[in-house]
Amino acid sequence: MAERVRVAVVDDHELVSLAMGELIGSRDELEFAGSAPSVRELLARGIRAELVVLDLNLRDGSRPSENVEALRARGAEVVVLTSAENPFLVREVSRSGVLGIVRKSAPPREVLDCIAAIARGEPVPTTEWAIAVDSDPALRSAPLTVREREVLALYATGLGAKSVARRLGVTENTIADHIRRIRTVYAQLSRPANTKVELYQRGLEDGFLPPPVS
Amino acid sequence: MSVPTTDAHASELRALRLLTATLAITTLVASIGATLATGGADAAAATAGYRVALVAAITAPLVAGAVARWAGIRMLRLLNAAAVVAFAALLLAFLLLELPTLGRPAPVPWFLTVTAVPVTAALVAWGRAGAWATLGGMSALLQAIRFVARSDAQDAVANDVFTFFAAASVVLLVGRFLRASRDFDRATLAASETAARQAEEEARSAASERLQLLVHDELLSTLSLAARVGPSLRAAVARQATRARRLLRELPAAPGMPSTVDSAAFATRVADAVAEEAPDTRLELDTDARRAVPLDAEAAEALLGAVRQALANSAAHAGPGAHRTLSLRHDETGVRIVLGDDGVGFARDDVSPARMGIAASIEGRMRTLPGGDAVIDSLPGAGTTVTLAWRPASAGLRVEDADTAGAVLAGDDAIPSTAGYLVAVALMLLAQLGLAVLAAGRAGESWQAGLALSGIVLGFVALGTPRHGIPTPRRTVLVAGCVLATAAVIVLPVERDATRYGDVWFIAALAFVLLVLAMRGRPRAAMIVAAGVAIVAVVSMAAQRNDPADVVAATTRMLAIVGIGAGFSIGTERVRSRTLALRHDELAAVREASFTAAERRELRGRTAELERLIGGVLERLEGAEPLSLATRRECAMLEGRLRDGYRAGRLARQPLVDAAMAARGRGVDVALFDDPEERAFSEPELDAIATWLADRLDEIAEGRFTGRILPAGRRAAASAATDDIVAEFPLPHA
Repeated sequence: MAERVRVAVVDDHELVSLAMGELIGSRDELEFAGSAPSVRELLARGIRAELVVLDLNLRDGSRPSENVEALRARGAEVVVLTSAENPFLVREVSRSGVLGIVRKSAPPREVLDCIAAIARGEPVPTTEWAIAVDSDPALRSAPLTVREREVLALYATGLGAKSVARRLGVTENTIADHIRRIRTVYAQLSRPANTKVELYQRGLEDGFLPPPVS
Repeated sequence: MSVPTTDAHASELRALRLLTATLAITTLVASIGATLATGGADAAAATAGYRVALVAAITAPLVAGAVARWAGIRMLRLLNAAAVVAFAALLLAFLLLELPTLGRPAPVPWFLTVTAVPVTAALVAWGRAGAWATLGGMSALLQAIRFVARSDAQDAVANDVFTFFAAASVVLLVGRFLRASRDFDRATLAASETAARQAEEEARSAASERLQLLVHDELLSTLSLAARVGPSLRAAVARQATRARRLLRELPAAPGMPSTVDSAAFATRVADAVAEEAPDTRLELDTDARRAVPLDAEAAEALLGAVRQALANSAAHAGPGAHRTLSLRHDETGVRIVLGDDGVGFARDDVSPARMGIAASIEGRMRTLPGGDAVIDSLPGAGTTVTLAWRPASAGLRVEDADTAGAVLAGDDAIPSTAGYLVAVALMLLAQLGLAVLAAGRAGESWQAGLALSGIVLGFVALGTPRHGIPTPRRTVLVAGCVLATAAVIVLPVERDATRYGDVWFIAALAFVLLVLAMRGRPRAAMIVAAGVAIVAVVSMAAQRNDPADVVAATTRMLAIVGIGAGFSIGTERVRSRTLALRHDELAAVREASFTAAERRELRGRTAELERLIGGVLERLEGAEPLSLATRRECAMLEGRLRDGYRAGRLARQPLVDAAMAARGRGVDVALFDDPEERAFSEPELDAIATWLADRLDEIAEGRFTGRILPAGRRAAASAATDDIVAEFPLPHA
C-alpha cells in the first residue's frame, strides 16, 4: 500500500479544524497530522505535513502569501480554504504557488476530492481560483494564447474540467496542460522574465525545468 | 441630524476682547500722558459739563476693557459703541461748553486729538465702515474746534497729521486682523462640519467593516459547517454558535474610534525600528506635531511593518560598508518614509524569489492599506531606495481648510498688500515732508528738518516691503540704527522755537517706523528702540532748549503708538497659537463624537437586522439536540445569503436573492460573483441580469450553480453554469 500523505490544517476556528480533520481522516490515502490556529504555531508545534490546508484569512495579522511562503519553505504543498474573501487575497495566493483554492462551503465531497488530488501532486483549478485570475485586469497583458484564455474563461463560468474538455473537443489532460501554463504565466506576472536566462531561471523556480546537474 | 460643531465665533470673540483690552490700556496711557504734558491744566480749567464728559470718555473704554474678558460679542460691541459716543460727546462738550469760556487762541487739550481711541472702538462696534465714518466725523469735529479755538496752524497740523495717520493705521491693520479672525472662524466651522460628516461616513464604513469581519470570521464558518458536519461535532457546533452569538451581541456595545497615533509617538517607534533592525542608519525626522494629520493605528502598524522589513532587507543585502539613510516626513499631507542605501542594489527581475518576496510583501502590505503606497527603486551597483507613503483619504480637504485658516491668522493677511503698503507709507512721508517744511520754514534751519526726514525715509527703506516677512536680525538692527540716529537729531545744537510743539514732530513720526517693525513680528525690538528714543528725547531736554511739555507729548505719543503695535503683534501671535491649538482639539473632539454616535447607530441597526435573520438558527445551534435536516438546510441557505453580501456585489438584488435562497433550500450549491473590477451597467440592466439568473436558477433541482457578471471585454454580460451546461446573457444594447 502506498504511503499515506500527511495533511495538517491551519485555521483559527476549532470547528473548522475538527471538521477538516474528520474529513481528511475519512480517506485511506490521507492522514490527519494535526491542526493549529496559525502557521507560526503549526511550525512551533513541530507538526510535520506534506500538505497543509490553510485558511486564507487568519486573524493573527499574517498575510496569506507570507503564510504560503513559510509553509512551502518547509517543503509542504498548500491548499487554501476561503470563505468569501475579496479576489485580491485570492489572487495574492494564486501567485504564491498554492496548488488549490477551495471554498469552505463547497460540498464536503468536493473539498475532499480537491485535497486528495493535490495530495497526489495535481493542481486543482477550482472556480474560485479561475474567477479571481480571470477577472484580474493584470491578466489582459499576460502572454496567454487564445485557447488558454478560452480555457480559463470557461473554468471561470463554473464548468467542471470534464465539461470544459468536452466543449473544446480536447482531452482532460490537454486542459490540465493549459491550466498549468496559465498558473505559471500568472505567477510570472510579478516576476518578469525579459531574457532567455531569466526565462530559464523562472522555469527552474517553477519546477518546469530540471535543475542543472553538477 | 445635527452636526456637532465648534464655537462658530471663537477667534472673532478672542480678537474683539484683545482689542477692547488694548484700547483700555491705550486710554490709560493717553490720559496719563495728557495729564503729564499739561500738568493737569486741562481738567482744572474745565466747566462742570466738560469735566463730566472727560471722565465719561476716559471711563467708558476702561470699563469696557475691565469686563472684556467675560463679555460676549454683542456686549463688546455695545461697550465700544458707548466709548465712541462718550468721545464724541467729549468733543461736543468742549466745542459747545468749554470753548466759549476760554480766550483766543484757546489751547485744545491733547487728549481730544487721540482719535485712534474712538476709531478703534468704532471698529469693534460697527466694523470698518463705522471706523472710517468715525475717523471722518471726529476729524471734522476736531477741525471745527481748531477753527473756533483759532489754534496755531503748525501745532495743529503736526498734531492732527499724526493722529490721523495713527487712526488710519489702526483701521487698516486692526480691520484686517478682525476680518482674518472671522475668516478663520468660517474656515474652522467648515472644517468642523466636514470633520463631522467625514467621521460619520468613516464610522458607517468602519461599522460595516467590523460587522463584515464578524460575519466573515464567525458566522460564515458556523453556518457552513453546521450545514454539513456529522453528529460527532455537534458539541463543537454549539460552542462555535455560542461564541458567534456573543460576539454579535457585544458588537454595538463596544464601538470605538479607530485609535490614532500622534506624530511624536510614531517618530519614536520608527526610531526604535531603526535601532533594532539597522542601527547604523542615519535618521532624518521632519514632523510638525501641530500640522501632522492623525495617523490611524492600522496605517501606523502597516507603515512600521513595512519599515522594519525594508530596514532588515537593506541590512541583510546592501552589503558591508553601505550607507543608509531613513527620512520620515509627517505633515498635513500624510506620512512619507524614504529608506535609501548606496549598497549593491538589485535588478527586480534578477533576484532570488526570497528577496523578491520581501519586496513584493512590502509593496503588497502598503498597497492594501487605504491611502498607502510603496515604490522600490533599485539598480545593481546603484543602491536601493524604498519609498513608503500614506495619505489620509480626506487629506486634500482638511489640509486646505487648515491652510486657509492658518494663513489668515498667521498674519499673512494682517499685513497690507505691497502696493497698499507703499501708498500708505508714501502718504505718511508726504505729510511728514509738509511738517518738515513748516518746521524748517519757521526755524530757518532746514538742514535739521531735512536730516530728520531722511532718517525716517531710510527707516522705511530698511524695513523693506511686506513681502520680506519678519525682518531679519540684521534688518532689525539697521532699522533701529536709523530710528535712533534720527531721534538724535533732537540733541543737535539748533535754533528752535522752544514754545512750539512742531519742532519735535519727527519723534512722533518715528513711531510709524517702529509700528511697522512691531506689526511685522518684531514687537519686542520695536519697544526697546522706542524706549531708546524716549531716553534720547529726555536727555535732549537738558542739552537743548526744547520745551519739556512738547517733548513729553511727542514721546508719549510715540510710546503709545509703538505700544499698541507691539501689544497687538504679541496678542495676535498668542490668539493665533491658542486658536490653532484649540481648533486641533475641538476638531478631534467633534470627530470622535460624530464617529462614536454614527458607528453605534449603524451597528445597532445592522446587528438587529442580522439577529432577525440568523438569531433563531444560532439559538438552535447552541442547544444540544441533534440538528434536523431542515435546520441544516436553513444554515446552508443563510450562509449563502451572507456570502452573497461579499462576492455577489450588484447581483445581491431581487428576484435573485429569493431564487438563490430557494435553490439552496433545495440543496443546490449556489455561488454568485461580481468582482470589483467593475463593468458598468445601468440599474435596469442589472435588474435584467438578476432576473435572467433567477430564471436559470429556478430550473435547477440539485448540484452546483455559478452565476457571474463577466469582466469587461467579453461578448456576454453574465454567465450561468451548472457542472455541465453554461449559458450566457447577451450584452444589453446600448
